[in-house]
Amino acid sequence: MTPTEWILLVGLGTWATLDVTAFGQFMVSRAFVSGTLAGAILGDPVTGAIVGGILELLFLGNLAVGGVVLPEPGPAAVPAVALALSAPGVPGGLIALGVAFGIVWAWAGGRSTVQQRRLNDRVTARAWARGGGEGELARAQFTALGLEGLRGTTLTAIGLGVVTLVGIVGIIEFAGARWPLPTPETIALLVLAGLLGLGSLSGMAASRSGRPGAHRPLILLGAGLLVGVALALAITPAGSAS
Amino acid sequence: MRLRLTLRSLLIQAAWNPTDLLGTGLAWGLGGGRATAEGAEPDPTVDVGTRWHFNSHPYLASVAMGALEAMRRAGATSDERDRFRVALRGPLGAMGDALVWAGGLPAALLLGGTVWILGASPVGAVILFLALFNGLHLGLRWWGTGVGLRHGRAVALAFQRANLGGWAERARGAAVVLAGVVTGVLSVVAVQWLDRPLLWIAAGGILVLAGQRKGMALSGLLPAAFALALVVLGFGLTLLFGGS
Repeated sequence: MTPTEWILLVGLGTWATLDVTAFGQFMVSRAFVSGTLAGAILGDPVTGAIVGGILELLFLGNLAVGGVVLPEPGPAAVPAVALALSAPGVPGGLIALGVAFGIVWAWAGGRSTVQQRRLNDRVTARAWARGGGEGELARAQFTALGLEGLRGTTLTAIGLGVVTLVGIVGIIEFAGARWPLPTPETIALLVLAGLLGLGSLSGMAASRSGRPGAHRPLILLGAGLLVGVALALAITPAGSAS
Repeated sequence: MRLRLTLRSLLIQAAWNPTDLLGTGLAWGLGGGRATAEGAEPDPTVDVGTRWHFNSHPYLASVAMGALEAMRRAGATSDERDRFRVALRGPLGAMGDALVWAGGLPAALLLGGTVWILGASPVGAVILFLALFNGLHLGLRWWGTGVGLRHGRAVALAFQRANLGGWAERARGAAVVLAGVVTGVLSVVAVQWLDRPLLWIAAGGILVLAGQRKGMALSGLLPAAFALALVVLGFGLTLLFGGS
């Protein structure tokens, strides 16, 4: 990883962290987006999209309803992709290791959010105690925004540091050489776990009352399945890729 | 004013905290917790130092910003505005969650993912997703401030007329259909790329159906924990049996 790539990745991780809640929510913080962009920075957007897409599927059922604190797979996808791309040829073992690291880092990001929000509480309480005028509140807003950006920068930089460390101690070499499955089967295995998240999302989204289990979700899902098979057969005739 | 409020709504969650939630962001967006009609002295009835508590979906918070600004201009007292702010919290949160988080967002994501799996470049798919989703996102913020500024305290009626509930229902239906599309496309990809594709497709089908039947109960960390367990198991078996 060159210094320019490192700076761009830390910048992307910071932007993705700010995008989760604090600024805009343009969805740069989705793992599919940040993973693909991280891959593009490192010269392999396809692997970035694979790792980011798998993380996206795994956390797809986590809906940000009611201000609940969730894992942050978007910012975590940045070091996860860097890990997957840390050896030439992108063997399946590195994709598996990258996704696993992304899961752990997403959880760590979520936990750090709890601390960050407590800090916000103190900053805003002070602003309101001073009268809650526009100037005081603006200072609180931008202080909180700065702290959130700092959290994103720190998390991404530490994540990339861990990736470097993992390379130094030989884990990357081990994962690349000794993982038991070929790359397509590795991706398929991780996507399988993601399908559980996809199913739970469809169950929640289709339920009018918030309770899954009625027939409507199944009908909609089945209709989509048929469309998907037809589309895939029409665009990529079976057998062409094998 | 509409543009200013819409831009400020982008930062409404900047200082999100467990005590006032979006309250500080809302107060800042409206020019401070003591802002009154233009040219007037600070409102003496406002309890200085009392934090505003406010919760809403961030995109639809613009409705509240517009309506509260319209009421301020019309000379509504701080007490009236406080009561109105409290009354708006529930509907703006629930409607936004249903329309955006459970409908529009997963639908746009799954569409972008489908386009990529079907052969588009990943960067192109990401651009498609961001363009589609942010069309909805920024449109909602702009519409919200406009409808709030126009209708003020009568915004609830305008909100009802917009039938966002119907749109949420359609968006959630589209998300489920697209979840099926992704599953279908992945099934064909499995046939093309994997040995024993039927085994993979059967396992995938069982997991999608299990997820759908259990819904929210499986939505937490379980899929990620499952994936993590698979990776640990893979490396564990390699270490134990020395596979290459």
